[in-house]
Amino acid sequence: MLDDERRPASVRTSRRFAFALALLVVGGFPSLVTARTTLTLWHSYQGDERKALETSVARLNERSTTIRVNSLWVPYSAFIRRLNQAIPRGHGPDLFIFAHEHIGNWVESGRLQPIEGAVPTSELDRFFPETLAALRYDDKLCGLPLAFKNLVLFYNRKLVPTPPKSFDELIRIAKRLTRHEEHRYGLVFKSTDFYVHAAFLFGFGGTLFDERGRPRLDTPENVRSLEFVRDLVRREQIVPRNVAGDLITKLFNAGLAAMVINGPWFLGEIKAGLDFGVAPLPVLSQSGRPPRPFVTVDGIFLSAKSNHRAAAIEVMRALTSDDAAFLRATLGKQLVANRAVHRRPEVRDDPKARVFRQQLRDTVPMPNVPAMRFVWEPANRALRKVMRGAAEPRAALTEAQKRIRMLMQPPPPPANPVPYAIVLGLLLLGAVALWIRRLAQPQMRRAMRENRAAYAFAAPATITLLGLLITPFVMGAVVAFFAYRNGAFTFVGARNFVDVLLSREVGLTDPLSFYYTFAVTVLWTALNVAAHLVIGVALAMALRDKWVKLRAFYRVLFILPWAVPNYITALVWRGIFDEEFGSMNALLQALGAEPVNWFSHFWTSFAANMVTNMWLGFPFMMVVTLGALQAIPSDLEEAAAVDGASAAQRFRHVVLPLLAPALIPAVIMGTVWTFNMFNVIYLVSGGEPDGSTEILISEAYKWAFDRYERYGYASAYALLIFFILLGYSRLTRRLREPGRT
Amino acid sequence: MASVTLRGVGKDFGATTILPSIDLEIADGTFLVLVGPSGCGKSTVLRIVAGLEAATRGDVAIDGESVTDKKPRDRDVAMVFQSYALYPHMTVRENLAFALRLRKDPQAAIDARVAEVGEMLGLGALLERFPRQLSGGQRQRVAMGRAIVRRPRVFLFDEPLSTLDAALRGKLRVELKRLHQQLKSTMIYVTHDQIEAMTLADQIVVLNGGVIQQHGTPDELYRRPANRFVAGFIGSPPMNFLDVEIAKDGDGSAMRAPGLELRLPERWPEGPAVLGLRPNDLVPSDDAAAPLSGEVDVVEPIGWEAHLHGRIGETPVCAQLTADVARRYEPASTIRFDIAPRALHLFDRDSGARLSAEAQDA
Repeated sequence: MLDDERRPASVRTSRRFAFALALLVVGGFPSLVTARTTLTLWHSYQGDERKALETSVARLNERSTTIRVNSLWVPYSAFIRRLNQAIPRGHGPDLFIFAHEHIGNWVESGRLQPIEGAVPTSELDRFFPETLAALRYDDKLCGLPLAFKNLVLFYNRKLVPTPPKSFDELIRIAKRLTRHEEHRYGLVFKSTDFYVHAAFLFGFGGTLFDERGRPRLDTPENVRSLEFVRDLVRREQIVPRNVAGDLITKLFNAGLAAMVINGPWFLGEIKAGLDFGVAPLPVLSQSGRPPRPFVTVDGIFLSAKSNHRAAAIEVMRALTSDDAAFLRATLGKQLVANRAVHRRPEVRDDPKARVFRQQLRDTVPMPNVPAMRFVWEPANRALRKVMRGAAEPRAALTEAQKRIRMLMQPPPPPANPVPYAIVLGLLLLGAVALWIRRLAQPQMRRAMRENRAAYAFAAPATITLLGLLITPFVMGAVVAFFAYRNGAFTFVGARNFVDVLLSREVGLTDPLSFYYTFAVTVLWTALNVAAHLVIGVALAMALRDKWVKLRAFYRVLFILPWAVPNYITALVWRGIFDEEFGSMNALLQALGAEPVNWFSHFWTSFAANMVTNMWLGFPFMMVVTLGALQAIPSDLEEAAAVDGASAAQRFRHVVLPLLAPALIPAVIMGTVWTFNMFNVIYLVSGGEPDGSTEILISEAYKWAFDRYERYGYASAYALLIFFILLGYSRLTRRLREPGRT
Repeated sequence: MASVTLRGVGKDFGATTILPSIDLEIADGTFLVLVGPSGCGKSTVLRIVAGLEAATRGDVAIDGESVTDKKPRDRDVAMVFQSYALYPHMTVRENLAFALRLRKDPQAAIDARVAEVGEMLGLGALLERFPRQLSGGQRQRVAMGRAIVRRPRVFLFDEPLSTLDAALRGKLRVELKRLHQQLKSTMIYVTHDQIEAMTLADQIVVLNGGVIQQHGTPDELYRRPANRFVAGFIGSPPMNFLDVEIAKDGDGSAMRAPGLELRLPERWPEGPAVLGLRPNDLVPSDDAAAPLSGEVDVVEPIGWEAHLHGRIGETPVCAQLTADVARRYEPASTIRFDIAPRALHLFDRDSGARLSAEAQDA
């Protein structure tokens, strides 16, 4: 593959030079003869894709005498984070393979060097132009394409013998095949996922950016596309409303989805033996144009910090050669970017590959500009709102536009760290002085000497705790004083706290405001803990009575919710509250009631979270109460009964006061747990509708990971949560200390 | 003030019968002591009267009105528990006032009554303390006070003194007796201690195995125990029992056993019997014709009196003597006793029932 003719002159020269050197020092430095430029390549391919890539890498290593490529697999989920950390520190890869949409960020933050001009134009002709277009940022080529992914129409041949050519036809077929009561749908796609919606948006001539490259969502074309999809979902009702998780796969494999809009990865999820076909997305009858889905391109990119640019470019070219691509197409089942490969019979004769290739002509490269980050969350939010009927498309997009403006606000200006350093220094000095003064006390020194063995034994645990608890805490606290943009932290002082507490960016009653979320958190905590307490104590009282048969059985049964990991429970409840497939609505319908879209109104969504967390929380209170009840002599209640107390009065005047010493610490702990019950909120309602059921901890998470990586802002949230809970525990300490009883 | 009537009251726990059937009439103002060994069902009877335990059978009436189906709170009875059962989270004052507060007495009345009862029981200085700050005796007084404040129709005591040390028990026993004299209420008192029963009771009911053995005044029980169980249970030191043979002897009877030769003027049923003799009815005698002779084993002097343990035949016996008299007997020496005819208790060897003379008078 690495023919000498194809190799750039520089490489050839260096090879000759090495050869000459070897001749000169023969016998003296034999290792130099074999000295090769070693390049590191990061990728996150798995399975057959990985095998195909590694085979190509192995062949390259075999043939080349000057270059050695070490391929390193990095998990997909950690890829960007590790790349962003490693490259600036100089221990990143020379080359990396990833989806193209981040290249704008990488170029802007100096992590990626464009290769414009380094590859002959004639050689670039071997790729589909759409895939090359995706890899251009700022008019410079930033990498070479390996494979592309786009959306097409999958259809069940048994239900749809010939795929529709237009959406009118599709709607007709789909309507015929849709049976809501049987959960049969004519068409299934993630209507609330902007990645999918973009196909319609561009099909209607919509755009994402204005002429100056700023995100712009509220255009008439965009509104029209949203109206169109809204009608598919809500008027024609041929598409299920909430398509989450692997529902598409399940429905299609069960023969309940006649047609599906999905990408090439779906091929691997369809069960064997299902007779299906793929077709280009049908033409939109209203606009007369086909939908134009995003295309994402796996590219191989060059690190800005690589010291072997020439060798690296050589490897990029080798790994994107037609032969390497053929291997990835046949062994790795990839849709490769090399045109010639698609002409080889093995690929040409695969009708599925042909359809994806055909659709490729009608695609839009996923924008690779950094500003795209601001589009996702507001756009997805608008989609969710429209699909559940909470807003008209125009209003939803206007709101999304407002939100983008809010998110795009420039980061706070850098602050002068000197005053902060002085304050921190004084605080540290004070702490050290205090510590030294205590150490200087003779009795303290004596105590330390006498307990030397105790200190030694406690040291490992103390050091471990410091490492595991204190270090992350301090790091988090420090981050709260910084702003993060484009992979770099800037010191902004207390600005994050000021922004959070003054709610500068949003109104006080907006779900994004700290105070709104704080109020929801307090409500959430109070109601949950009260419910846990009531249910837990009631069940404990019931289970205490000797006459309850199978008491041991019930005890185990009631402790079960506690024993199951809470995220599993949360996911199960999420499914139970699903609008179309959940058992809660099935039950309501069986009782003759209307199904409820649980996550489209604050109170129903809040209630779904509550029910889940009640289920999770009552066993703890029950166990604590059962334990405490054992310690209450039955005489006391009998004495009260003879003294004239009814069952309620006995509970109120005798049992409850005696349970209190055990229940108060449990309530305090339960409060802290519930206050930070991230899993339930994140997994059940996910903050829906529109972030209104978010609690502080999940809101902090969203700031950090869903909204343009505002780590500093999120850390400020986290630190405020810490101080709120610290204050709470201070307040309740008096309750915990043994009082009069 | 009330009478308490139990008619055919029985209790089963699952397949186990604790009480077969109890009939009991307790007159107004009586201090009735239920006494018996542990597990005899005496506490169960008390709890059935209190309403804490439902009777499986029979009927409980207070003042002639059936309360069998009533809850404890509707029976107007007060109970003092063995464990005191003071509410640990309430002060003495709150403990005393609890029942009054529940029945919504006016606060002024509650205060007055608590003060009065506190005074009566010497708790005046302790009213603001919590139970854990009190000694055992003080707690017991609070428990009694809690019953007294209510002026209930019936007081129930479930072994209230059993957890106290001997000295305190003796003292509180006297207080209880005084209390009853003062209040003149109907009181039912459960104990396994026959001394408590004897000292406190107007009426004693001896229970064994859930069956009433005898019901009478302490004096009746002491002087004419209805059976061998009661005879052995009441009195301290306990009664001595000797297996004897009774034969006809002229107009009267003759009683024989190893170390015993006694002529009785009355006619007694012939055959095997058990002779019961209280230790204080054994009178040492120098007369060689004295009917009992035995061997001295151990002498236990207890101040002015002494317990002389010896054997008549093979049967160990105990005699209660004055210390002066006891001092005359060395271990292993022979001792002879006289018995007053009135002091004889004869029981059927098999059933344990009391035998009577003069039955053949006809």
